Amino acid sequence: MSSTIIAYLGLLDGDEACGDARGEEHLTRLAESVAAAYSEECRIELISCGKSPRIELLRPGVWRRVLPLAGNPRTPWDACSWELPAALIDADIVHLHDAYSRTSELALLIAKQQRKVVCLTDYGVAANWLTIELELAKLADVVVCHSMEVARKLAGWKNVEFLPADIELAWFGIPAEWPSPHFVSSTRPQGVAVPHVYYPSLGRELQAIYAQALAGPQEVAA
Amino acid sequence: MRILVLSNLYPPDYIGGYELCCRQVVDGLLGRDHDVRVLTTTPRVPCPAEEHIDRSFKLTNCYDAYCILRSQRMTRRMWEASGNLVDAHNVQILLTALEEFRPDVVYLWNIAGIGGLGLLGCLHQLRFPWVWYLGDCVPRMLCSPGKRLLPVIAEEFSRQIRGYYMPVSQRVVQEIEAAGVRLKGVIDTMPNWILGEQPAPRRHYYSKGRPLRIVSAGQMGRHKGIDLLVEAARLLKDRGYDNFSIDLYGKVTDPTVFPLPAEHGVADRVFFRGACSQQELVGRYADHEFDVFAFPTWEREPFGCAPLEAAAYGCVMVMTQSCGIGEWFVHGVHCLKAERSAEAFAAAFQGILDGRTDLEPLGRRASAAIWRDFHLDALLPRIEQALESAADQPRTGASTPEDTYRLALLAERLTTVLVQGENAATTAA
Repeated sequence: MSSTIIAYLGLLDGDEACGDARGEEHLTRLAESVAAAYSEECRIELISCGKSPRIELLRPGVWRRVLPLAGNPRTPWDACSWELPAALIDADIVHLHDAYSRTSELALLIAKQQRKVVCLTDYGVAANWLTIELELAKLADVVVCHSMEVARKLAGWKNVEFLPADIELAWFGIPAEWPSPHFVSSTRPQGVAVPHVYYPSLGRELQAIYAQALAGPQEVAA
Repeated sequence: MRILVLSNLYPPDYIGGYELCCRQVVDGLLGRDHDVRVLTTTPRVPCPAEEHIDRSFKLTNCYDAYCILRSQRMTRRMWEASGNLVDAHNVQILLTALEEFRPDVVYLWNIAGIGGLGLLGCLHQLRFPWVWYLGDCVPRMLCSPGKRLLPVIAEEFSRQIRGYYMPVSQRVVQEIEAAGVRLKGVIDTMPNWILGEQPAPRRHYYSKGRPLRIVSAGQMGRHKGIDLLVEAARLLKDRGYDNFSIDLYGKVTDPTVFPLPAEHGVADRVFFRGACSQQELVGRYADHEFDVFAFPTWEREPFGCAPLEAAAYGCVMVMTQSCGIGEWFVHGVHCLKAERSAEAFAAAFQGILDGRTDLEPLGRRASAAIWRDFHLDALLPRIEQALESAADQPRTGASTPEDTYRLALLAERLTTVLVQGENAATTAA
């Protein structure tokens, strides 16, 4: 059996805006725990677009991939790459960890056209105009939420998975109104304790969600 | 079968052979008891309402040279993006037609100018079967907004889009694929056609000593080689031949060609006759008003209906050696082929005027082959077979119309911001 390939996008552009690696650290630990749940029979790529294209191994089964930037993005959240379609082509699952960056919007469009399973983490707070106006979360095959309040809001939607955890968008930062390259000042707090997240459990649950989501299309194909 | 036809233009609103052929096939399919609906654009000229034609699509300003020339760069870029890439309004119109009409298959024609990739993406999302008549390199055009191929779009088209293509020549396929757009699925080459009743065989062909009557028809521009014909006339005249005439029928789309006969001193041999209906032209061919149809068109000509119509009545085709229609006929058997130059065309005419080239066997053979193999009645069964074959494809894994429309809206918004972002970067540079 070939290993599952999962692409993680989102949260990484905020690191670019701030100069630290809060988004990458969270996604790396999450991906590491998912990979462990897969007994490392998977490859997870954390994908973003940046000025220094590279691919590097972060942990067993977890890779960091930076695609070459297209043009000169006005804000970190406007970054995109012509190489994004090719970067997603081998993925079985595309998991978007935010819904407000250009890379995530493009990845959603590309992944749906490429008939990938799309998973979206919804934090239930203001995303960008496009995401709200077009209800882009409805395009996802699975919506993951970490708060009960968000899960309640999404009640009645198809395929909503509630994975309780102390993961909030405010911790990673909410972009200020475009074209500001900064976060809303009250978000992405500095000098406070890192929220405690029990990643091994999250990893196991996400692995089960991915496996179930992948079984859907395979059943259709069969 | 229930067949939904998509075309950017539809007669009486038309530019060239692509749309005229579309109407002919639609009429043919209706005549064979198929349920056909045409989805096309709001007309650029007044058009009478017809029950099977829905003119709800929006056409982007891609054929309006008057406005395009006077527009700002950014405006043009936006038009090119919505015309070639995606227009969510048109996707919604298509979704409504699919829901209301419930076709078995979609029959695509020229979908440039109506957000063609978005319409194709919509059918791809819905796993809806289609057959695409390629009278030109439309897939390449769609992947090239601003006439500049976007490799990433071409690559994704090649990777994702699979269907039943009916190109009019191998040249069309080669040109599409040479640009980096690969066609996946069935490629079933099929020529253009003629209509009408087969007449009695032509009895009189050109004989040496009589005036040679040359005709050409279509858009009067340099891409069709009108300048080469004028130069060929001058070469003939310089060599002492004056027993020939060249009649040119069609709109003068390139104003620089109109003064050429006078400039070359052949205004008494070469005549612009203006636009002429297809019916009137065919009438002139049937009355044997001409001996030769000259077609010095550009080498990328996908096919060329005009010479086919003329040759059906024994008017011998003299054509650019590598144009699309040339694939279907043999030099020296059905037609004359020449290098695309004034000298080569002058030499071909000279051979006829000198009696070295006998037009009669060429004309007879071409006429017989065209009435036998190139009549729409002979080709319609193949078209039906293609449509049936496509309609039989399974539709497992189809998206919902809601998701498909939402994706079209997302694609449209992203296209807008990307084009604007690129424009801002270019302006800053």
